[in-house]
Amino acid sequence: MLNKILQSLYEADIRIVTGTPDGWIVPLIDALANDDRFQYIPAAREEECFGIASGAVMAGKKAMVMVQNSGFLNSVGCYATLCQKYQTPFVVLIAHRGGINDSNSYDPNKFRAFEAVTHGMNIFVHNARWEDLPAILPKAYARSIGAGEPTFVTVTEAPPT
Amino acid sequence: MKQLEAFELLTAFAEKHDALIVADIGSQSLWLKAVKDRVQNLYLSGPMGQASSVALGVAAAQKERLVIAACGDGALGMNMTSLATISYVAPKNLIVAVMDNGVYEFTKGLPTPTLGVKWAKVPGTFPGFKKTFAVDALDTISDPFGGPYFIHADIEPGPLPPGPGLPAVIAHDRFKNYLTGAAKTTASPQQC
Ligand SMILES: [Mg+2]
Repeated sequence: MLNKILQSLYEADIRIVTGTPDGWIVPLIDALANDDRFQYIPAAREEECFGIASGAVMAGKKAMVMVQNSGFLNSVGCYATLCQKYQTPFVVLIAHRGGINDSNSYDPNKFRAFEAVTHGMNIFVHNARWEDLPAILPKAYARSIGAGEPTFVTVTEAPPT
Repeated sequence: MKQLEAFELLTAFAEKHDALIVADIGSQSLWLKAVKDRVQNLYLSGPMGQASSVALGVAAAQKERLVIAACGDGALGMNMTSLATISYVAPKNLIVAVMDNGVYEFTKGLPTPTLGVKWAKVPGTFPGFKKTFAVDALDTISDPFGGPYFIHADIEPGPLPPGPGLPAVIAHDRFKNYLTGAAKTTASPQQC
């Protein structure tokens, strides 16, 4: 499945990916970081990812951000004043922690806050299964171009092993 | 040194190397534009402190071009983690410059907490940065693509820069169009 996701990103010409780790997306980070077709940029803080991806797309390349839902919450100001204001198109893959598949005590508040903030900002969010990502991610990129804004795709489960 | 003079030096260096400049909101974008409104300039009129991160993205996308982040000291103080990221990724074509006047110029000249930072020592803490240069010593950078480098501009607080800035979407469009020949607004395949 990871190979299919990478192949789909490659065929969609998305070669620059930046992120900050979440346990669910670590296998994808590892796969991207170890594949010479891609440039994976590990950012120290999630807000940077939204800046890095915006810079890459304003310089003419396609990009994707991968962060946990709490990472988007860390980045809301940057998202509003950079990504929305400059209309920068890219894909944001979110590990949406704290839902029905999570029993960690530290995750449910992230889930609620992410739901509230994205609804409050009227942000388009598409929830997807991991196995559907190879088909969804190129569509998400195409939508981001048309809409002139990032497209959010969430996963609410660990990737299948 | 006044911030205007620092941007004159930075622009002359950028023109010599056909470099791209990404500038932070407020003083940096407006002083840079006041010196010379180059199509190679990307003005960030929204986010505080994102010039270094946006410049890292530009540098990743345009590896053949030299890219300069023109940061305010207050702004870079809000995105200090970007120095760790840049140090780790270490793109050879990226230069981060800090315009260090010790104040938030657009916020009534309030002192910045980065008065507690020794900017010249950035490469000591973030060793991916090869060296710090003073802004009046840019001529001594013998290998601009041997970075990343850090530039410290020790400037004095001064008057606010002249406006207006470039609207955000136009800044985006112009920069992308210059680099790719395709404007943002025409990049989408239309499905009517
Ligand atoms: Mg300042």
